[in-house]
This record gives sequence, C-alpha cells and structure tokens, in this order.
Amino acid sequence: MLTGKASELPMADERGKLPGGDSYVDDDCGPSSFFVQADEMNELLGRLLPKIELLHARLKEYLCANTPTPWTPPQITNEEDREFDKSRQILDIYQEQPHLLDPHLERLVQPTMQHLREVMATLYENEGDGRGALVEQCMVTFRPFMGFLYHLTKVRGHKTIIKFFPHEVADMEPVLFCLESITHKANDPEFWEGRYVLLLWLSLLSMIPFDLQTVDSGTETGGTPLVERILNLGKTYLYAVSKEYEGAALLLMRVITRKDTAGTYLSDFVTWAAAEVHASRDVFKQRGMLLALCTIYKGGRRELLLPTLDHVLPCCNLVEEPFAQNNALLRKLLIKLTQRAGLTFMKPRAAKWRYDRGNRSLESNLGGTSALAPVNDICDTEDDDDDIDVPESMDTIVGILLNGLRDKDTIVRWSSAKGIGRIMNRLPHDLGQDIVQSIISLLEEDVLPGPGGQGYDLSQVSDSTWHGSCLALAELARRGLLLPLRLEEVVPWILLALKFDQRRGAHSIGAHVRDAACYVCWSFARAYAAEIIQPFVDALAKALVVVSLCDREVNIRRAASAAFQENVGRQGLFPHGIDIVTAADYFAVGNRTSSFLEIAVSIARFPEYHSHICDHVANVSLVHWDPNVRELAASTLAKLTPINTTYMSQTVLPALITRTTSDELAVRHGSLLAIGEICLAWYAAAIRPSDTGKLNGTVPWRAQENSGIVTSLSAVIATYPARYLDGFGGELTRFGCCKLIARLAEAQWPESVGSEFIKSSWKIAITSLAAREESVQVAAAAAVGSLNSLHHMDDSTLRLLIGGLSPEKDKHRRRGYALALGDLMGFVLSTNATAIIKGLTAAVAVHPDKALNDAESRRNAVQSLSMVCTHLDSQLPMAISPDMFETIREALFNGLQDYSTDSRGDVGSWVRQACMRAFQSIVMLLTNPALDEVRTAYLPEQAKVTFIGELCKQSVEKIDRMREVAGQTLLFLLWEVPGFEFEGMALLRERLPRNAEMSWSSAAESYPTMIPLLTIPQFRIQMLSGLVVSIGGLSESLVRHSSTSFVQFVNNLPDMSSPSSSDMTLGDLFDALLQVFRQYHRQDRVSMCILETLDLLFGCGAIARCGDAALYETLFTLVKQEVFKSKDVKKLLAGIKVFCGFVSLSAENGPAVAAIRQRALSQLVMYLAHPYPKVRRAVAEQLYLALASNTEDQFGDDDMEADDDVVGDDEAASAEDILLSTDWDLPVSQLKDTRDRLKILVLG
Amino acid sequence: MGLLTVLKKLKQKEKEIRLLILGLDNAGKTTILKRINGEDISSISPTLGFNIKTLAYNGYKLNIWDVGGQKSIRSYWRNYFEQTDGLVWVVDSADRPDRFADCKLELHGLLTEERLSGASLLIFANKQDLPGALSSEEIAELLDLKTIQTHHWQIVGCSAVTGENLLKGMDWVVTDISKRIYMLD
Repeated sequence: MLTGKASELPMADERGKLPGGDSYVDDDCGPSSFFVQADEMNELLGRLLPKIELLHARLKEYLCANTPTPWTPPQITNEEDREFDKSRQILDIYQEQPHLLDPHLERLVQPTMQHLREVMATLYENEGDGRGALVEQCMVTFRPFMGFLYHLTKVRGHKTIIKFFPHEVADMEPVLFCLESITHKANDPEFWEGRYVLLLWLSLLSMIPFDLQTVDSGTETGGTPLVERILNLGKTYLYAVSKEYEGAALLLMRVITRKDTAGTYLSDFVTWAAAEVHASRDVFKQRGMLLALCTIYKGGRRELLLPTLDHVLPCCNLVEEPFAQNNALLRKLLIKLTQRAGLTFMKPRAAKWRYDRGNRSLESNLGGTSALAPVNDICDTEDDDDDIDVPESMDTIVGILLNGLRDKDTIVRWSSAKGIGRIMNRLPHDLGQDIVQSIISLLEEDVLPGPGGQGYDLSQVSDSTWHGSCLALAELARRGLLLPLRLEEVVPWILLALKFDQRRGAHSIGAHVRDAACYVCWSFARAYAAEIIQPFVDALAKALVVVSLCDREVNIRRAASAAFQENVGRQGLFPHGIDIVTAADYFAVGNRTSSFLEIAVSIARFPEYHSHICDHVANVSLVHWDPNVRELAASTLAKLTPINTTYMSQTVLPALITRTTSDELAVRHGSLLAIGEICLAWYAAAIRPSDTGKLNGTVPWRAQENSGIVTSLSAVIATYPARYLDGFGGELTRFGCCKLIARLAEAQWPESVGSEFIKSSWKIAITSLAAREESVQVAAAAAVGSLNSLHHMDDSTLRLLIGGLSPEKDKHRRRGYALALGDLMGFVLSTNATAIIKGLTAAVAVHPDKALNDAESRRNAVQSLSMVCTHLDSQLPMAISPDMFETIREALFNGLQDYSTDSRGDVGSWVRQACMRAFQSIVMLLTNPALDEVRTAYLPEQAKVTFIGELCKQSVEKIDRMREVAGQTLLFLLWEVPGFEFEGMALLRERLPRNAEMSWSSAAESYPTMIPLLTIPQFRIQMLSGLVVSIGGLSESLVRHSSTSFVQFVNNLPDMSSPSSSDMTLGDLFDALLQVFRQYHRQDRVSMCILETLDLLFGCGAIARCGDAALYETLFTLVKQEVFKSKDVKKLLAGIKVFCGFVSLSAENGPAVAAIRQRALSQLVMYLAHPYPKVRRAVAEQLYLALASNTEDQFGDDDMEADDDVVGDDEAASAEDILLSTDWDLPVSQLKDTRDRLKILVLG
Repeated sequence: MGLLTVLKKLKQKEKEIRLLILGLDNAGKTTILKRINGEDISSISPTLGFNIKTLAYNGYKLNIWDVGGQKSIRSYWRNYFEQTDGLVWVVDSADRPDRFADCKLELHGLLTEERLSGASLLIFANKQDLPGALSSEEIAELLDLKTIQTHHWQIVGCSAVTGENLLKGMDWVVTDISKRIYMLD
C-alpha cells in the first residue's frame, strides 16, 4: 500500500488481488484459491533436475579417473534457461497470495535440495587441493537452481522455505565447505542468489542440537574450529551489497546464540559489531552490523544478552546523526535495535485478556465448545507491577522511539510504533500511561484553535507526526494497553484523524493518516469489551461509515470498511451494523461513484447516519481539491434530498448559499453545483405524483416558508461578482453558475423574484458560451436551453447567437453559439427555425481560408442541426419547408466529405461522425406517424441511397472509431427503424444480419465482412473510395487486413459476367476504380492511396488478368497525370511502383499493351535523372527488379519469341549491370550520361 | 503499508500455529508426529537432531517442531522456543518410575522459560496401550501439573501406536490457541 503523497494518486482497483478475493473476511474459496500450475511446475523441475544428476555423474567419473582428465560441468542450455524463466514467472503470479503455494512447497524444495546436497557431499569427501576449484566449476550448473530456490524465498519468505531444507548433522561441513570455496569471489554478481541460499541453509544447520565441537572434523587436525569458520563467513557476508547480508545476519544469530557458543562468542561479537557501527561510515557495513544486532537481540535469550546491552545502547543515539538522517533504512534498523534493547531489559508478560476478547475464527465460535477445557485459568500477572524493575536507560529508549513516530519516512514511523507497542507490553502501569500521554501530546503539537474558537485548525500540524501517533495508538490499543479511561481523551483525536486532509496547493495529503486512524478503530474493536466502547460507538460508527463511503481513495474506503466490519463483528453495537456491512463491503466500496451515489444514499436512509452523511458530503467532499469529487458530491446531495427535504433546505442549503461567493475556487464551484442539484431534486420530490397518482403538493418555491431561500438564491445569480467569473478559475465558476442556472430553470424557478434574476442569468449563460473549456460551453448551452424554456430568449440575443456563427468571429464563441442554438426549443425555435437553420448550415461549410476553419464549430453546428429537427418533431413541416430541409441534408452530406486536418490530425472525423449520428436521428424523426405525408418530400429515395453509401464508405475507412460509428449506424438503420426502406437494402441486410455481433473497430473483423459489399452496385463507388484509403493507409494491421480481404475479393471476381446474371465482374471493379480515380484526381489524400491500390492489383495479377488495353491506356494516362510534376516523394515512389506494374504486363496482349509497356519504361528511365536522390535510388531498384523478372519469365517460357519482349537478353543484362553498379546518389549532372546509355539499352 | 496490508498479513499469520513437541527420550514424540502426519511408524529410531512438519488441521496450518529428547540434547531445546504457540509435552506412561522425576523437572523447567510464556501446554500421556501404563490422572499427579498457573494446560492419555486420543489432544491445543486474540508481533 502506498502512503504519504503517493497515495493521493488514483489507485487501481485492487479487486481480485487479495487472497481469496476478500482481505478481511474469512473466505478463502475464490476461483484462484489454489496453485494452478502445480503440475506444470513439477514437470519443469522434473526436466531440469537431471542436469544436476548429470553433473554428479561427470564429477564422480572425473574423481575416479586415475589420470587427471579435463572435465566440464554440464552447461545450462538456452532452452533450460527459458524453463527457469518460466518457473520464476509462475512463482511471481503468487507474490500477492503466496500461501497458496504452501501445500506444494515440499515437492518444489526438497528434490532440488536433495540433488544439491548429494553433489556437495561428493565434493566435500574428495580429498585434495583442487577441490575448491571443483566447487566453483559446479556452481555454473548450480546457479539457476539456486536462483530458483531464492525465488521461492522471495515469493513465500525465507522462514517458510527454510523449513524444507535438509538439516542433518552430516550436511553441516559440506555446505560450509562449499560456501567457503566460493567466498573469495564474494562480490561476483553472478552468484549472489546461491550465496544467499547457502547462508540460509547454513543458518538452519546451525540449529542442530549438538555441541558443534563434536560435529567438527577439523579439530583433531588443528584447523580453525567450525564455529569460527562460520563466524568468519558470516562477518564477510554482512558487508555484502546484495541480499547475502540478510542471510549472514540470520546465520550469525543462530550460531552465536547457541548454548555451546554464546558464552565464548556472543559478547565479543556484539561488542565488535557495535564498535563497527560507531566507527564506520560505510552504509553497507552499518546496515549489515545493525541487522545482525537486531536479529541477535530478537532471537537470542534475554538473560544472555542483558550484560551486552551497555555496548549497544550508545548505538541507539546514532539515529539523530546526520548520516542516519539521510538514510531511512539505517534509521529503521536503529529504531529496531532500540526497540530490541528495550525488550531485552524487560521481562515478557502475557496479557490475560487475550482469551477474553473473542476468538480468532468464526469456525471455532460456531463449532461448539471443544470437549476439553483448560484445566486451569492463568493467574493475572498484571497487578504485580511493583516487582518490575525499570532501568534508567528505558527513558532514553522510549524517548528515541517516541521521536521515531515523527520521522519523515513511513518505515521508520511503523517501526517506532511497533516498538512502543511491544515495549509498553512489558512496562509497569504508570510508565505506560506516561507514554500514552506523550503520544497524545504529539498529536496536540502545532494544533491551533479553529476559526471562531470552535474546533481545531490542523493546517499547521505535521502529517508524519499524526500518522506515527495514530500508528502507535493503534498498536497500543491492539495490545490492550490503551486503558479504557484514556479513550475519552483519545477518541476525539481519532475522529479528527479519520478525516485528516491537508491542502497542499492543487491537491492535499493525509490519506496515510486516515488509514492509520482506521487502524486505530479496527484495534479498538479487537481490544475492548463492548461496554467499554459503548460511549463512543455513535461517533465512531458515523465517522467510519462516512470515510468508508465518501473518501476519495479506494484504499481508505476499504480500510474504513474493514474497521467498521471488525467493530460490527466483535462489538455488535454499531447501529444497523449488519445492513451496512452487507451494503458497503470490500468490493462495493471499490467503486467511488457507486459508493457515493448508491451506497451512501441508501445508508443515509437510516436516521442515525443521515445528517452525518449529508454534512460530510456538503462540507468535505463538496470542497474537495479534486473537481471530480466535488461533482460527485453535488450529485450525491441531489440523491440525498428526497430522503429529508427539510434538512436539506433548512440546514444544508443556507450554508451552501453563503459559500457561493467564497474566495476559494473549490468552495465556489462545489456549492454552485450542489445548490442547483438540491433545488431540482427538491422540486422533483415535491411535484412527484404520490401513490394515489395525484400530483403531490405544490412547487416548493410558492410556499411562504421558503421565500427566504428563494430570495437569497435568486440574489446569488443576480449579484454574482464579475471578478469570480472572469478572473483566475473563472471557467470553473462559470461551469458552476451555468449548472445552477440550468437546474433552477428546470425546477421552474419563479419569475416573481424579479427581472434581475432572469437578466443576469441570461447574461452569464450567454457570455459563458464563449468559454475556452468545452465542458463550460456544454453547460452554458444547456443553461441557455433551460432558461429559454422558462423565459423566452429575446430577438436580439437570438440574432447575436446566429450572427456569432460567422467564420470571422472568435472560434470559441462560434463553438458555443452553435451548441446553444441546438438547445433551443419551443416557441423561439418554431418561429425562428429558418433563420437558425440557415445560420447553422452555413456554419457547417468548410471555409476556403484554413485559418478560419474550426472543426469543433462545424461539429457543434451539425449536432445542433439534428437537435433542431428533433426538437421541432411533428412541427417540422410547419417550421421548415422541404427546400430548407434539403439544405440540411446537403450540409450533412458535405460534412461527410470533411477531411480537414490540423495539428491534431484528422479533425474532420469529428464532423463526419456528427453527420452520421445526425442522419440517424433525422431518419428516426421521420418515422413519426404525424409526418407520414411529408416523409418522401423531406427524405427522397436518392438521398437515402447516397447517405447509406456514405455510411458504407465510412465503415471501411481507416480510423477505427469511424468504422465503429458508421457500422453501428448502418446496422441500426437496416434493422431497427420501422418503415425505413431504400434501394439495395435487401442486399445489405443479407450481408449484415440483424444481430451481427461485430467489433467494427477491429480491422481483422470488419474488412472481411464489409468488402464483399462492393458487389452492391449502388454503393460501390462510395465504398471503394473509402476502402482505397485504408489499403493505402499507414498502420500495419490496417493495411494488412484491408489488402488481404480486398485481394481475396478481387481474385474471386469473374472476368466476364455470364449473360444470364448481373454479378459483378472484374471489369465492373475497374470501372468503379477509374471513376473514383477521376473523382479524386490530384487530391493526394485519396489519389496516393489509389496508386497503392493499383500496385496491389498489379501484384495480385488482377490487372494482368483483365487484359483490357483500353483500360490500361486510361489508367496509364491517369497515373501519369497524377504524378506529373509532383514534388511529393511518397507519391512519386507509389507512382514508380505502378509504372513498374505496367512494365510487368505481358506483351502477349497485343501491340497496344506493348506500347504502354514501352511508355512506362521510358517514364521510369526518365526518373533515373530525377532531382531527388531517393527517387533515383528507388526507381533504379524497381527497374532492376522489373527487368530481372522479365528475363526470368523468358527463360521459363521457351516458346516465347525473344523479339516479342521489350528488351533483348543482352541489353537487359547490361542494363541490369548499370542499374546495380551506378551510385545513384551522385549529382544528377553526372548521372545523365548513364541514364542516356540505359535509355538506349532499354528502349532501343 | 496500511491497514489493509496489516490485515492481510494478520489473516495469514492467524492461520498458522507453531507447536513444539518435547519430552524425554523414547517418549514417542516422533511417533506421534509421524502418526498424525499419516506416515509409516514401523521403524522409528531416536531423533538425532530435529524434525519439522507442516500440516493442515481445521483450517489452521500447523508448523510442528519435534526435537530429540536425549539428555545431551535437552539443553539445546531452547534454540527452538521462538514464537511457540503451543507446547506438546510427551510422556511415556509406562516409563521407569525414576524417570518421572526427571520428566517433572524438565517440564517445570520449561515453564519458567520467558519465551514459552503464554503458550498452551498439552501433555500427552503416551503409550496407554502398554500394560502397566499409568493413567493420565496418575501422571498429572506425578508431574504435579495442578501447580501450573502460568499456562493453559490439559492432559490427554493417548497411544501413538493405536492413534487413540491423538486427535482429541491436538484438537484441544489448536482450539485453545485459536481462542486467543492474535497479536502480530
């Protein structure tokens, strides 16, 4: 989990990552609740382990040989390396829930260890000087296996894995020997995992319950004693940079705390290590020493360690030193050591209450009592405080730990908090209470009195200190050390911490404090009996509910929910506990929107929680730094309103009204949004039909008791300070104002409040239309629409809006005005429809001056055109004449041809998309039975076919999103619109069945379905013009899928149509292609793609198959004109490929074709002297390929006369030579001669 | 690290119980361990060193450490004390009378160990199938169990060979441990 600033970032949904699905419910039966790949893993190991057997065999063979023969340990192959990779990947899957591996660990660890120990035993038994070198050689083979074992410790933890290591006395010396043999290379980065695993192994072996002297075979020969050898190894590896130091610390602890060794070595080692920590300034050294000391003090016997404390205590003060201040890990270790030192001073005590406060699992709660009960009850040891002797050093130790709570690093604070908890467990009552007092005073640090002397101002406190203090309180509470009489003092602080949030510029921090506060609440549930917690239940329950539902961060919501659940489960006091736990569980609170809008609202129906939730949403969420949270809070308030309108209108609303003019942007924005939402919800609740079906009550604004609110609210808009609208953050304020105006208008705000309200509302709405933010424009347009329904727009404003559409005006204004016109309804619309439509249709047109073009304005105008028609509905014939309607259709049609681009790319696609949607809504509108008579006049057959054709075209274009919209529109029109028919519809329906589940945005799916639609003559030209753009497109998958499907389609076309059928032929395709080519002649966007398509058609043999000389002629001319004098390299290169295609045509098809080949050749030769070197290089290469393949063809076909070919054999050969050997990057002047020679050779 | 991490860790730890099986040599510690682990018990030799077994019981994962009981080894027992939730003390109910004094001494010595404080204590009066075996009540008397005030304890007469009452004993110790609130330490 992240803490501190990092946790302010939106966090990914953690669903499914936690064990068994739910982290705090006893439920381990999720779908992935077992080690799925167990068999796979065992097979992997089964394949890999023979490698060690092979190593062992070779080793034995080498050792048995009388004469020394060189040997090589088996190498790990790449294949095996991959298998090891695979095994690591599998293990990594279980990093988050490693206990699932548990049942399989034995089978994973033991065979590997067994193999390793056998080899090591052989290595050890072998006498001789060279055996150290042998070990090193074997390590090459061992390495990946050790890596695998390390990986297991990484995923599952070394404590668990180590249990499966062999630990027989006989293993001790071989393992020690092997580790020693590779220690001279202790810094070799290749083998750190192996060293780590061996250290772990040795640490387990050091637990054998025998005197190590009896194990040591070297004592008789006078070598170094075994213990000292281990100690030396351990010390060496304590300095290691990588993980070995952890293994070494464990090993040293095990060896040095033994009964037979402690007396001799413990004190010396501790003294030495403490001195090293003091003397050294090498971070790695200090880290190793400190970890070793911590481990020793944790694992060793207290009685043995007590005398050594004097050496270690001075180390604890190092935490304040500058070198430690820069290193969080060192500080953490120092804090840990301090804690361990403290624990060594004090005798452990077991808290009796452990048995009083609830069972570990529900299972044992419900499973009935066991047949046996303990024979006795443990004596209460808590009252023999007087016997406890507390050394003076404890003051220092506790002081260091308390200070650690304020550390800037989370890990240090955590360590300090845990330390305080553990130590206090052993301290006498009075001293413990002093510690609690100190923690509370840490919380009080820098707390200022709140505004007006009420509450507290936490803006100056340190979030770190609060986090640390809360952690410490939680640790104390969990251990039952926070005595009940302290709760009264502590709970108010925890309630504040639950909502801790400090603004830092544009964001805030404090999630870690809130998390820690949840921890405290969770601990309360575990430690206290119900009657102790009773007085605080109300406040805690409310606060936890609010945090679990309305916190911005998912992990905090979940933490609060967990704490709430623990309290419900163990205390059973929280009101409606079970209902809330059911509604707001771990998963439910994972989604912020539903937490606010659904769960919070449903829980607010419980009167106990209602006002608290409302207040929190209105006072905290609504002024949150994140605008999304503010908007969510406003919507939540709307949904909370019907539950208790009185509370909302009498308590919440007045407070919000005063905040609308706050200096803080977030407060202004939030309150403006919320007031509108609340008023509309209030109105809706008041006029809602009651159960009897009659209108329920009256509009609240008319009620006398609400006149105050109506007046003050109207005044908000009427007197809104202009500096807030146009100064910094004006856009957001305007957004809020527009939302408020729209909501009030929708709520039928009384006009009786005076013209000032209406006037100023219009003013704000209209001026906000020109805002730069699109969201503000949309809100403003909606406000205009709603206002217009309340109070008709006057003529001058309407003229202003229509006039503002003209291209000379500011583009933001054009966008906003265009939007607003679409939101007009009713009288103003029906009387001015013609003028509005004229304005909008003009605005859709692409302006010849690119600088004045604005895609968003055009898109908005298209949207508004369709909105106008939809709003007119059955009044359409009265308001708009068929001719006028035709201009709308034309505007839409023209919009579909909008391919304008700017720095953002194909911005025209927004317009095209809007046009497609607009066409759909027009078709829908005309299904209205009231328009039966005029339907054909407004949408003639030809127009339908044209539009459908355009949809077909868009559905094969290159942008995924466009294909998606086009495809969906097409399907909708084909199947979902009753009475909508057009020519070719039956054919389309055949291809696109009703429930065609297609992913239009996927090129792999859409092209194979759509391309066969080319057979429908009505839409062929349009489709082809769209398709070529995809074929000549840029992205690889698009080009691949579109060309493959196209080629497949073309290859299946018949050459000639049989007289009896009207099926599409190859000729039909080329006719269509020519038509498209002419239509888009010298329009690079399409024509370049046509060249690519032609290349494709040459490549697949379709053009050759056609054999129509007249077609070749036409095509050649078009291509030549297309590239004529073009300066676009890309286009030239495409053209060259097409010319080469012409060269590849067979002369068999008659002299006309031969002539075209000749012309193509001469064109290519001409390009050899093109000013662009890139073109020259390309043409040389292409020409070479064309000539070479021609020659090959000849050889392949003996019957062919050489004369028939354009170029003779010899000439071709020399031409090919020249093409290859010339450096075409030379200046053109030097190339002209070569080019001319080639010309003679090639063209004769 | 936040509350959810703490909970996740705790949930796993709460499901793990560490038991230490001790007793004089030839009391049947390893036989009991193998018996409850479903292993063959026909040929068991004195434990030279220690055994670790992990097995699942009633939703808990039991990590059981069994250390040899020879006199020379006993002083090394404390190497294995850390984080022990339950101590299983195995007695040979048909042992020579003079050994019971030894047995009592060792047991009471263990109970003064700080690092075993708070652990539940189960005494297995093993070898009840042998003729001449003392009853569990007699053994409780011999070992002076009723003076134990520092630990929850229970004695169960059992036989590792027949398997009698092994489950009953394990059930008690696991249930007693699970009744404590767990503290992640």
